[in-house]
Amino acid sequence: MLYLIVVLRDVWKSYRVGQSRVTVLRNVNARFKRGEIVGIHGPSGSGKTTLLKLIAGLERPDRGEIIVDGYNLNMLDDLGLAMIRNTIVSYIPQDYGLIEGLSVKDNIELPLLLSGMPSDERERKIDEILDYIGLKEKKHVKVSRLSSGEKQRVAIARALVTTPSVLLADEPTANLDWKNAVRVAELFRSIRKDFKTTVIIVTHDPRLLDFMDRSMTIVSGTLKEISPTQV
Amino acid sequence: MSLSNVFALVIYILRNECKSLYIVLLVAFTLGVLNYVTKGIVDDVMLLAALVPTSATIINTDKERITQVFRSLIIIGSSPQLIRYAILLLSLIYSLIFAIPYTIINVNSFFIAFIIVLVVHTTLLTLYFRTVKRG
Repeated sequence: MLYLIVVLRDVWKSYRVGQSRVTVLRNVNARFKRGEIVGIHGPSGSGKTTLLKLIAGLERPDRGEIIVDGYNLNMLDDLGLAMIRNTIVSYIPQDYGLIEGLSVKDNIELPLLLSGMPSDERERKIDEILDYIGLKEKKHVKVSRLSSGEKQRVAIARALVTTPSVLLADEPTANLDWKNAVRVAELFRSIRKDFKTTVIIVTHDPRLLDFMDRSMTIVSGTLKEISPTQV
Repeated sequence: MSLSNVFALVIYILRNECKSLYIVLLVAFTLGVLNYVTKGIVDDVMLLAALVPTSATIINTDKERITQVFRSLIIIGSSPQLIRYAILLLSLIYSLIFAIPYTIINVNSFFIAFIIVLVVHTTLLTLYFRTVKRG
Protein backbone atom coordinates (compact mmCIF):
# COMPACT_ATOMS: atom_id res chain seq x y z
CA MET A 1 0.00 0.00 0.00
CA LEU A 2 1.34 3.46 -0.88
CA TYR A 3 1.86 5.68 2.13
CA LEU A 4 0.28 9.13 2.00
CA ILE A 5 2.65 11.73 3.40
CA VAL A 6 0.70 14.95 2.72
CA VAL A 7 -3.07 15.27 2.60
CA LEU A 8 -5.00 18.49 1.96
CA ARG A 9 -8.73 18.47 2.64
CA ASP A 10 -11.01 21.33 1.58
CA VAL A 11 -8.32 23.94 2.12
CA TRP A 12 -9.21 27.62 1.69
CA LYS A 13 -6.86 30.55 1.98
CA SER A 14 -7.43 34.27 1.48
CA TYR A 15 -5.46 37.45 2.06
CA ARG A 16 -6.52 40.94 2.96
CA VAL A 17 -5.64 43.38 0.18
CA GLY A 18 -6.53 46.92 1.24
CA GLN A 19 -10.19 46.89 2.26
CA SER A 20 -11.14 43.66 0.52
CA ARG A 21 -10.17 39.98 0.82
CA VAL A 22 -8.75 38.00 -2.08
CA THR A 23 -9.30 34.24 -2.04
CA VAL A 24 -6.16 32.53 -3.35
CA LEU A 25 -7.02 28.88 -2.72
CA ARG A 26 -10.56 27.48 -2.91
CA ASN A 27 -11.52 24.06 -1.66
CA VAL A 28 -8.14 22.51 -2.46
CA ASN A 29 -7.95 18.73 -2.11
CA ALA A 30 -4.74 16.79 -2.82
CA ARG A 31 -2.78 13.72 -1.75
CA PHE A 32 0.97 13.24 -2.02
CA LYS A 33 2.58 9.82 -1.66
CA ARG A 34 5.90 9.02 -0.02
CA GLY A 35 8.80 9.19 -2.44
CA GLU A 36 7.16 10.91 -5.40
CA ILE A 37 8.12 14.09 -7.24
CA VAL A 38 5.16 16.33 -7.98
CA GLY A 39 5.21 19.54 -10.00
CA ILE A 40 2.77 22.34 -9.21
CA HIS A 41 2.19 24.67 -12.14
CA GLY A 42 0.08 27.75 -12.71
CA PRO A 43 0.32 31.42 -13.59
CA SER A 44 1.97 33.98 -11.31
CA GLY A 45 -0.20 34.89 -8.36
CA SER A 46 -2.28 31.73 -8.63
CA GLY A 47 -1.41 30.57 -5.13
CA LYS A 48 1.44 28.09 -5.77
CA THR A 49 3.78 29.56 -3.17
CA THR A 50 0.90 29.93 -0.70
CA LEU A 51 0.20 26.21 -1.12
CA LEU A 52 3.83 25.34 -0.28
CA LYS A 53 3.81 27.70 2.72
CA LEU A 54 0.63 26.06 4.01
CA ILE A 55 2.19 22.58 3.77
CA ALA A 56 5.33 23.91 5.50
CA GLY A 57 3.23 25.36 8.31
CA LEU A 58 4.50 28.85 7.53
CA GLU A 59 0.90 29.97 7.06
CA ARG A 60 -2.40 28.66 8.36
CA PRO A 61 -5.46 27.92 6.21
CA ASP A 62 -8.73 29.83 6.71
CA ARG A 63 -10.59 26.54 6.48
CA GLY A 64 -9.77 22.90 5.84
CA GLU A 65 -7.16 20.45 7.06
CA ILE A 66 -3.54 19.80 6.18
CA ILE A 67 -2.06 16.53 7.41
CA VAL A 68 1.69 16.03 7.12
CA ASP A 69 3.20 12.67 8.06
CA GLY A 70 0.21 12.02 10.34
CA TYR A 71 0.24 15.45 12.00
CA ASN A 72 -2.82 17.65 11.56
CA LEU A 73 -1.21 21.10 11.27
CA ASN A 74 -4.39 22.79 12.60
CA MET A 75 -3.84 21.07 15.94
CA LEU A 76 -0.29 22.41 16.35
CA ASP A 77 0.78 25.69 17.94
CA ASP A 78 3.73 27.81 16.67
CA LEU A 79 6.21 25.61 18.53
CA GLY A 80 4.71 22.45 17.04
CA LEU A 81 4.83 23.91 13.51
CA ALA A 82 8.47 24.91 14.07
CA MET A 83 9.22 21.32 15.12
CA ILE A 84 7.54 20.04 11.93
CA ARG A 85 9.75 22.37 9.82
CA ASN A 86 12.86 21.25 11.66
CA THR A 87 12.21 17.52 11.33
CA ILE A 88 9.54 16.55 8.78
CA VAL A 89 9.12 19.28 6.16
CA SER A 90 11.87 21.36 4.57
CA TYR A 91 11.06 24.43 2.53
CA ILE A 92 13.38 26.01 -0.03
CA PRO A 93 12.21 29.52 -1.01
CA GLN A 94 12.85 30.97 -4.44
CA ASP A 95 15.68 33.18 -3.12
CA TYR A 96 17.21 30.15 -1.32
CA GLY A 97 16.71 31.67 2.17
CA LEU A 98 20.39 31.30 3.04
CA ILE A 99 22.37 33.57 5.36
CA GLU A 100 24.79 35.16 2.91
CA GLY A 101 27.33 36.26 5.51
CA LEU A 102 27.87 32.73 6.81
CA SER A 103 29.84 29.89 5.26
CA VAL A 104 28.30 26.90 3.49
CA LYS A 105 29.04 24.73 6.53
CA ASP A 106 27.45 27.21 8.98
CA ASN A 107 24.29 27.50 6.91
CA ILE A 108 23.86 23.74 6.74
CA GLU A 109 24.66 23.41 10.44
CA LEU A 110 21.91 25.78 11.64
CA PRO A 111 18.95 23.34 11.49
CA LEU A 112 21.05 20.69 13.25
CA LEU A 113 22.02 23.21 15.91
CA LEU A 114 18.35 23.95 16.54
CA SER A 115 17.58 20.25 16.89
CA GLY A 116 20.23 20.01 19.62
CA MET A 117 22.50 17.53 17.82
CA PRO A 118 25.99 17.05 19.35
CA SER A 119 28.83 18.80 17.48
CA ASP A 120 30.71 15.66 16.31
CA GLU A 121 27.49 14.24 14.85
CA ARG A 122 26.73 17.60 13.20
CA GLU A 123 30.18 17.62 11.62
CA ARG A 124 29.70 14.09 10.25
CA LYS A 125 26.25 14.91 8.86
CA ILE A 126 27.51 18.09 7.17
CA ASP A 127 30.39 16.22 5.51
CA GLU A 128 28.00 13.50 4.32
CA ILE A 129 25.53 15.95 2.82
CA LEU A 130 28.24 18.11 1.20
CA ASP A 131 29.69 14.98 -0.34
CA TYR A 132 26.23 14.03 -1.60
CA ILE A 133 25.56 17.35 -3.33
CA GLY A 134 29.14 17.61 -4.59
CA LEU A 135 30.19 20.79 -2.78
CA LYS A 136 32.69 19.44 -0.25
CA GLU A 137 35.44 21.74 -1.52
CA LYS A 138 33.22 24.80 -0.81
CA LYS A 139 32.60 23.89 2.83
CA HIS A 140 34.25 26.99 4.30
CA VAL A 141 33.35 29.42 1.52
CA LYS A 142 30.94 32.25 2.30
CA VAL A 143 27.55 31.79 0.62
CA SER A 144 27.76 35.31 -0.86
CA ARG A 145 30.71 34.12 -2.99
CA LEU A 146 28.84 31.20 -4.58
CA SER A 147 27.13 31.07 -7.98
CA SER A 148 23.32 30.72 -8.21
CA GLY A 149 23.62 27.01 -8.99
CA GLU A 150 25.85 26.44 -5.98
CA LYS A 151 23.55 28.47 -3.72
CA GLN A 152 20.62 26.35 -4.83
CA ARG A 153 22.55 23.17 -4.01
CA VAL A 154 23.51 24.55 -0.58
CA ALA A 155 19.83 25.37 0.03
CA ILE A 156 18.97 21.78 -0.91
CA ALA A 157 21.72 20.47 1.38
CA ARG A 158 20.42 22.57 4.28
CA ALA A 159 16.89 21.31 3.61
CA LEU A 160 18.07 17.71 3.36
CA VAL A 161 20.45 17.56 6.32
CA THR A 162 17.60 16.87 8.76
CA THR A 163 16.40 13.99 6.46
CA PRO A 164 12.86 15.34 6.09
CA SER A 165 9.95 13.30 4.73
CA VAL A 166 8.83 16.19 2.53
CA LEU A 167 10.92 18.64 0.53
CA LEU A 168 9.16 21.74 -0.82
CA ALA A 169 10.96 23.78 -3.47
CA ASP A 170 9.69 27.10 -4.82
CA GLU A 171 10.87 27.74 -8.40
CA PRO A 172 14.20 25.94 -7.80
CA THR A 173 15.50 26.46 -11.35
CA ALA A 174 14.19 29.98 -11.96
CA ASN A 175 17.63 31.62 -11.72
CA LEU A 176 19.66 28.80 -13.26
CA ASP A 177 21.07 28.10 -16.71
CA TRP A 178 20.32 24.85 -18.52
CA LYS A 179 23.27 22.91 -17.12
CA ASN A 180 22.60 23.86 -13.50
CA ALA A 181 18.84 23.38 -13.87
CA VAL A 182 19.35 19.80 -15.05
CA ARG A 183 21.85 19.19 -12.27
CA VAL A 184 19.35 20.39 -9.64
CA ALA A 185 16.55 18.35 -11.19
CA GLU A 186 18.75 15.23 -11.18
CA LEU A 187 19.58 15.95 -7.54
CA PHE A 188 15.85 15.96 -6.69
CA ARG A 189 15.47 12.63 -8.46
CA SER A 190 18.40 11.14 -6.47
CA ILE A 191 16.92 12.50 -3.22
CA ARG A 192 13.62 10.81 -4.01
CA LYS A 193 15.43 7.52 -4.68
CA ASP A 194 18.03 7.62 -1.88
CA PHE A 195 15.98 9.17 0.94
CA LYS A 196 12.41 8.20 -0.13
CA THR A 197 11.60 11.89 0.27
CA THR A 198 8.48 13.37 -1.28
CA VAL A 199 9.51 16.35 -3.40
CA ILE A 200 6.89 18.98 -4.24
CA ILE A 201 8.15 21.57 -6.72
CA VAL A 202 6.45 24.79 -7.72
CA THR A 203 7.72 25.65 -11.18
CA HIS A 204 7.15 27.39 -14.49
CA ASP A 205 10.13 25.59 -15.96
CA PRO A 206 9.28 23.12 -18.76
CA ARG A 207 12.81 21.65 -18.43
CA LEU A 208 11.71 20.01 -15.18
CA LEU A 209 8.76 18.11 -16.70
CA ASP A 210 10.75 14.97 -17.48
CA PHE A 211 11.77 14.72 -13.85
CA MET A 212 8.24 14.75 -12.39
CA ASP A 213 6.18 11.69 -11.51
CA ARG A 214 3.02 13.74 -11.95
CA SER A 215 1.95 17.33 -12.38
CA MET A 216 -0.81 19.50 -10.98
CA THR A 217 -2.00 22.98 -11.80
CA ILE A 218 -3.81 25.70 -9.89
CA VAL A 219 -6.70 27.16 -11.83
CA SER A 220 -8.96 29.75 -10.18
CA GLY A 221 -7.64 28.72 -6.80
CA THR A 222 -8.32 25.02 -7.30
CA LEU A 223 -5.69 22.31 -7.66
CA LYS A 224 -6.15 19.89 -10.56
CA GLU A 225 -4.16 16.89 -11.79
CA ILE A 226 -2.90 17.29 -15.36
CA SER A 227 -0.94 15.26 -17.90
CA PRO A 228 2.58 16.53 -18.83
CA THR A 229 1.34 17.66 -22.27
CA GLN A 230 -1.14 20.08 -20.64
CA VAL A 231 1.57 22.08 -18.87
CA MET B 1 14.13 24.42 23.57
CA SER B 2 17.33 24.65 25.57
CA LEU B 3 19.36 27.63 26.73
CA SER B 4 22.35 26.36 24.78
CA ASN B 5 20.27 26.59 21.59
CA VAL B 6 19.51 30.25 22.35
CA PHE B 7 23.19 30.96 23.01
CA ALA B 8 24.18 29.16 19.82
CA LEU B 9 21.66 31.23 17.87
CA VAL B 10 22.88 34.47 19.37
CA ILE B 11 26.48 33.60 18.53
CA TYR B 12 25.44 32.96 14.93
CA ILE B 13 23.59 36.26 14.69
CA LEU B 14 26.39 38.19 16.40
CA ARG B 15 28.94 36.73 14.02
CA ASN B 16 26.74 37.88 11.19
CA GLU B 17 26.49 41.33 12.70
CA CYS B 18 30.07 41.66 13.80
CA LYS B 19 30.92 44.48 11.37
CA SER B 20 28.35 46.79 12.89
CA LEU B 21 29.41 45.72 16.37
CA TYR B 22 32.83 47.23 15.67
CA ILE B 23 31.14 50.43 14.52
CA VAL B 24 29.01 50.39 17.66
CA LEU B 25 32.10 50.13 19.82
CA LEU B 26 33.86 52.92 17.93
CA VAL B 27 30.87 55.28 18.05
CA ALA B 28 30.21 54.50 21.69
CA PHE B 29 33.81 55.15 22.59
CA THR B 30 33.91 58.44 20.66
CA LEU B 31 30.67 59.63 22.25
CA GLY B 32 31.89 58.57 25.67
CA VAL B 33 35.17 60.48 25.29
CA LEU B 34 33.34 63.50 23.85
CA ASN B 35 30.99 63.46 26.77
CA TYR B 36 33.90 63.25 29.20
CA VAL B 37 35.89 66.01 27.52
CA THR B 38 32.94 68.42 27.21
CA LYS B 39 31.66 67.77 30.70
CA GLY B 40 30.35 70.98 32.17
CA ILE B 41 29.82 72.53 28.71
CA VAL B 42 27.43 70.05 27.13
CA ASP B 43 24.74 68.51 29.27
CA ASP B 44 25.31 64.80 30.01
CA VAL B 45 21.67 63.98 29.46
CA MET B 46 21.70 65.70 26.05
CA LEU B 47 24.65 63.64 24.92
CA LEU B 48 23.15 60.45 26.21
CA ALA B 49 19.88 61.32 24.50
CA ALA B 50 21.86 61.44 21.26
CA LEU B 51 22.41 57.73 21.75
CA VAL B 52 18.85 56.97 20.70
CA PRO B 53 19.14 58.07 17.05
CA THR B 54 22.79 56.97 16.92
CA SER B 55 22.17 53.42 18.10
CA ALA B 56 18.97 53.15 16.04
CA THR B 57 20.85 54.25 12.90
CA ILE B 58 23.69 51.80 13.49
CA ILE B 59 21.32 48.89 14.08
CA ASN B 60 19.26 49.93 11.08
CA THR B 61 22.27 49.50 8.79
CA ASP B 62 22.01 45.79 9.59
CA LYS B 63 18.27 45.64 8.97
CA GLU B 64 18.47 43.66 5.72
CA ARG B 65 20.92 41.14 7.16
CA ILE B 66 19.03 40.69 10.43
CA THR B 67 15.73 40.31 8.56
CA GLN B 68 17.29 37.65 6.36
CA VAL B 69 18.62 35.83 9.43
CA PHE B 70 15.17 35.80 11.06
CA ARG B 71 13.59 34.58 7.83
CA SER B 72 16.13 31.76 7.49
CA LEU B 73 15.63 30.78 11.12
CA ILE B 74 11.85 30.53 10.69
CA ILE B 75 12.25 28.44 7.53
CA ILE B 76 14.57 25.92 9.17
CA GLY B 77 12.26 25.42 12.13
CA SER B 78 13.24 27.88 14.80
CA SER B 79 10.27 28.65 17.06
CA PRO B 80 9.18 32.30 17.46
CA GLN B 81 9.76 31.92 21.19
CA LEU B 82 13.38 30.90 20.64
CA ILE B 83 13.92 33.90 18.35
CA ARG B 84 12.39 36.23 20.96
CA TYR B 85 14.81 34.92 23.59
CA ALA B 86 17.65 35.31 21.12
CA ILE B 87 16.60 38.94 20.48
CA LEU B 88 16.65 39.70 24.19
CA LEU B 89 20.03 38.09 24.76
CA LEU B 90 21.48 39.67 21.64
CA SER B 91 20.21 43.09 22.74
CA LEU B 92 21.75 42.66 26.18
CA ILE B 93 25.16 41.85 24.69
CA TYR B 94 24.89 44.67 22.14
CA SER B 95 23.88 47.23 24.80
CA LEU B 96 26.66 46.15 27.13
CA ILE B 97 29.26 46.65 24.39
CA PHE B 98 27.78 50.06 23.62
CA ALA B 99 27.63 51.18 27.25
CA ILE B 100 31.03 50.00 28.51
CA PRO B 101 32.96 53.14 27.27
CA TYR B 102 30.59 55.31 29.34
CA THR B 103 32.08 53.93 32.54
CA ILE B 104 34.88 56.49 31.98
CA ILE B 105 32.34 59.19 32.89
CA ASN B 106 30.58 57.49 35.78
CA VAL B 107 28.44 54.46 36.63
CA ASN B 108 25.21 56.41 36.10
CA SER B 109 26.16 57.24 32.50
CA PHE B 110 26.94 53.58 31.92
CA PHE B 111 23.48 52.53 33.15
CA ILE B 112 21.68 55.26 31.19
CA ALA B 113 23.55 54.30 27.99
CA PHE B 114 22.91 50.62 28.65
CA ILE B 115 19.17 51.06 29.17
CA ILE B 116 18.71 53.44 26.21
CA VAL B 117 20.48 51.12 23.76
CA LEU B 118 18.77 48.02 25.21
CA VAL B 119 15.33 49.53 24.67
CA VAL B 120 16.16 50.80 21.16
CA HIS B 121 17.79 47.52 20.10
CA THR B 122 15.09 45.24 21.52
CA THR B 123 12.32 47.37 20.00
CA LEU B 124 13.91 47.48 16.54
CA LEU B 125 14.76 43.77 16.42
CA THR B 126 11.26 42.84 17.60
CA LEU B 127 9.86 45.09 14.90
CA TYR B 128 12.03 43.41 12.22
CA PHE B 129 10.96 39.99 13.47
CA ARG B 130 7.26 40.92 13.36
CA THR B 131 7.68 42.15 9.78
CA VAL B 132 9.30 38.83 8.78
CA LYS B 133 6.62 36.81 10.57
CA ARG B 134 3.86 38.70 8.79
CA GLY B 135 5.60 38.27 5.41
